[in-house]
Amino acid sequence: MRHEGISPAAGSCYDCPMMMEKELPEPVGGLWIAMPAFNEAAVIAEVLAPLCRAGYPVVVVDDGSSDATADMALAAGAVVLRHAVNLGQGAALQTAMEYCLQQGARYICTFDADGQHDPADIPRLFDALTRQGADVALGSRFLGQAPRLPASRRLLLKAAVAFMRLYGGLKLTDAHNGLRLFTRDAARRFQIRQARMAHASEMVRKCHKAGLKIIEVPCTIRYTDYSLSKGQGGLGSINILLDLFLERLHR
Amino acid sequence: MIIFELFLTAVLLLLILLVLRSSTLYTAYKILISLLLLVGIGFVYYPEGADRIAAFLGVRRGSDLVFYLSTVFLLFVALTSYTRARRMQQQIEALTRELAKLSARRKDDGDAHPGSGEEERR
Repeated sequence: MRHEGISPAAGSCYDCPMMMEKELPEPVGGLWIAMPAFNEAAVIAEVLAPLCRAGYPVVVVDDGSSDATADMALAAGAVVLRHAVNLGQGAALQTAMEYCLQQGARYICTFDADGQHDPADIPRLFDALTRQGADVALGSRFLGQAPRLPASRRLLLKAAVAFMRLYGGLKLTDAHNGLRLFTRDAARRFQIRQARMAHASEMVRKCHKAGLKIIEVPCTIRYTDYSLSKGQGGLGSINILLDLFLERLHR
Repeated sequence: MIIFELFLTAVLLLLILLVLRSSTLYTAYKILISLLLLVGIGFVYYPEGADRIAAFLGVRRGSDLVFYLSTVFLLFVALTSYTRARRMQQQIEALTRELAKLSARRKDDGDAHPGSGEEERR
């Protein structure tokens, strides 16, 4: 795998055009960003920079990284919580959201630490959420754009969408997108039990079951060699299906 | 033949000892498993007994009966250990989460305040 453009030492040539000095509008009061991170020291400073500069309070949950993720996030201006052991993205997200709620967040935006999201999508999500009176806004790369989305990944995501329709009874255009916005009330209505990667399907299903209004908002996903190397492949999806199946078995 | 019988008896007796000394099993389980193992020892010396019970239950041979019963037993063990592992995983998650929330840090706090884990890593 080629890791073009990642140079933690220089820290500035990360292959992510959206980071190029486009200032975000003033953040909405009470909007917190929840960011799970596992071994993202190479990119997390750059991902955090525009968010912290714009004044968003960001909670980074370092999920037992073996690199300097926590220190980099701390230096970039985020609040950093550290899991002593690696629990999985779902568990890290739950910790981040609980902490945001504890701090009195009125809105919680989940945002991936690998730089695939565009910070400019956060105000878009917020506008759509408030305008449509929704409880949950999910980013959708298929309504928006995802340049460089590999065909195999597209197929996998479409399969996940079809699965969500069966599993969660919900018609969406995208699945497993890390960019989401919850109102405080919505975030308090569910608990993520899937510690690993199955949490994305779980969260949507729980929100749907709780009768929350879910909308999808176009967003941009930037696939870099780095984010592709960290994403879920075919084997990951089988794990997700297994996790969800075991969960069902257990209820 | 007598050597094999003695060997089997020794193994089963050892298992009974291990079960009775176990600190994680419930007493009811200990008694149940020990009784089953004792019956096993009985079958070593009196295999026709297993055949009779099997015939009574509608299974052709005693060894088949033992095989079926051990399959059911193994499945039961697998299920209970899965449940136990899951519960433990959830406890670890809860502990890790509480610990993480208690030791939240931000830049202005100073980089090395007590209990943050910073000292050990430096």
